[in-house]
Amino acid sequence: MTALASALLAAVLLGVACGLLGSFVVVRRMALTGDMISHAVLPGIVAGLAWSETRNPLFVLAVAVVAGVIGTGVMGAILRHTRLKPDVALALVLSVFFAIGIAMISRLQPAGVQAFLFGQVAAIDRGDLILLAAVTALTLILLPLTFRTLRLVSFDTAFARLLGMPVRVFEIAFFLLLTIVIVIAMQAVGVVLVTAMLVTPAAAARFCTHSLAKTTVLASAIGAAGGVVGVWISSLANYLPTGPLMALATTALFIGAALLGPRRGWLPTLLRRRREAHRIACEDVLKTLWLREEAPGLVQPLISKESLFRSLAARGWIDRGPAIVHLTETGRARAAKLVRSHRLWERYLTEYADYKSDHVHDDAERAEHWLDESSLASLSEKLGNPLEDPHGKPIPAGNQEAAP
Amino acid sequence: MNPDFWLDPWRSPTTVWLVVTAACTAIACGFPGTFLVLRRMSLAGDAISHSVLPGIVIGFLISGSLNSPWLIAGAALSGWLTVMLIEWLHRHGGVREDAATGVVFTAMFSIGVLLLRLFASRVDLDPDCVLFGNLETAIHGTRVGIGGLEIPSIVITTATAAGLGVGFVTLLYHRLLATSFDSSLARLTSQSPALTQTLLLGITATVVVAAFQTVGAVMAVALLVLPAASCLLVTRQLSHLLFGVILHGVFSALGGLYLATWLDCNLGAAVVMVGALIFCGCWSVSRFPLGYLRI
Repeated sequence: MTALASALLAAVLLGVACGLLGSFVVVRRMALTGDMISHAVLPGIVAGLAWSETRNPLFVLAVAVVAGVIGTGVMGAILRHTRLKPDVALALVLSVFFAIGIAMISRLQPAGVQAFLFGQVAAIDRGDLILLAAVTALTLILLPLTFRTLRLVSFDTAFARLLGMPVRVFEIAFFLLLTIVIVIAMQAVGVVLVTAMLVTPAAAARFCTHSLAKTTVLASAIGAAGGVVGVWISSLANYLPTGPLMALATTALFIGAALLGPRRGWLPTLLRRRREAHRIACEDVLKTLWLREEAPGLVQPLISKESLFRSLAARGWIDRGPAIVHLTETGRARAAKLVRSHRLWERYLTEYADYKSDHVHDDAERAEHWLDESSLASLSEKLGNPLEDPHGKPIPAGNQEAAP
Repeated sequence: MNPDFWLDPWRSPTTVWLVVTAACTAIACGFPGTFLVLRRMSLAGDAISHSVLPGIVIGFLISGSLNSPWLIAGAALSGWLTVMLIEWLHRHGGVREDAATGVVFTAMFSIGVLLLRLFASRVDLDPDCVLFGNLETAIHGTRVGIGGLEIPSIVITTATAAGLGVGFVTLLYHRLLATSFDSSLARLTSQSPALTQTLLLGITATVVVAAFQTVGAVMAVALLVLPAASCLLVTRQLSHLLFGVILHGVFSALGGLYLATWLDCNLGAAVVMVGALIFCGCWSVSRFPLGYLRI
């Protein structure tokens, strides 16, 4: 394999493994715990590199995991036995363990530690690649098998414990897997940017979907894509370090997801809000026209934009004469439903929520746009199919043409 | 124990400056750090310490010197930008705070490393310095003569940072106290919590710049958090806490010197490790029934 091919392979494997685990890291609000682990394993890595003549990756990994476990244990002890807050405990463990690692580096001067500090995809050799592939495969197999349990443990630990699930076992297994992936990822991107590999793809995926399963798939795709782009750019411009390029490529994808993600992205949210506002404005016009037909003597002000009339006419809800607009049959039915919602809701508020009859209008003005057919039917039934609203106006009947 | 061990380090003329620099760095970070700890914002300190890097590099490119106000302006700006971005992602993007922190500070740090590498020929900043500084080399940098005394410029930088940190806390003591513990009362008495927080983050970025050259980005976090965390275990009064922070800084610096001599390791790391030992000492004092030892 050429150097570039193996770097690309490493980037893809890392992206997938980090994306999968990172999704759980993000939904469990452990983003900075990942940062803590990557710093806390440093003394272990240095010790492993210094003690093992051959720099056996498995040995280094084992010692690093031990250091990670100690770091997490110290953090737990600080939280249990002092009144210091989690953020302080995390920052303490992170920086002190890192300092111990630096002290060991400056004393022992082990070879190969630079890769762990600053990251170098070229430092990932054949042994690391096999290890990485094995860990990724293990994650890919274990995850679908234990997905339901893992999801429950991640979102509602207390409930999972109540159901008698082995929460502790899951947490320990997750922690070990996470530590292993972090130690391998450190060699590619360096101690600081592991957090970018873990957190950024998953945070990007959360903009796109609600479902945890889709988040994991999407996050690993984003992680792999970011990694590949980073490696590719760095192969074009040799002097640029790969780690920051991978992190920035992933961040670019994050920005893209934040702008365009269907779930919470900026543009889809904006369009959704616009659509809702347009619908509500249209419905308000229909209702005003209906109220004019109901009480021709009272002047109902109708302030509206040309574009609203155009879109209402296009849907066949109004007829536009040269100087006057009329409701069509379908438009009238639609408007009647709105008035029915409004008046039923007013009735409901006075009877069940103890509102005064002169306080209910504003609330109903909002509710009328959100009540659907089935909730209207059950509301009407609950109220005993009333014929009048609290102000004595008739409630149009449901599901038929209402006479104005 | 062998008295020579305790006296030997002082034979070298730079030792005094080493200890002064370390103590100044620790005090400079410890003062704003106390309020970060009290406000549960330690991780904002972590984010700032990493994300000042692009500001430092750009400041260096503008001024061409490690000791210029441009560096501090750039660092403060990028630190502030980071916190604003995290806040904005959290408020308007619905990203949780920890995830937002992770995304933003790594991006800023990456930009910094890339800039450093792109302009490697023009930036006289050791890339190692990004992660761990080197006090021993920093002390041998340029020297400034003041009143017949040859003072390494790093001493002046860190002493200024310490002065800024202590001065900031002294000037805004009541405002910081009010906004940290009772932000609604602070708002009622028109001591804007938002403004105070911005100022606190700005001064944090400033002292981190000084710490960058001596201990590096990650161990700066230790200097921010360790003193306050140690003292919080033995006292609950803010004035005692701040006094303890000074003691913690001085003793970490002195102890760090001996530890570094004994282990033959990086001085910054030794200072942090002694600080951690002091933390353990405070912890055991707070655990065991030695109530009379509490301040």
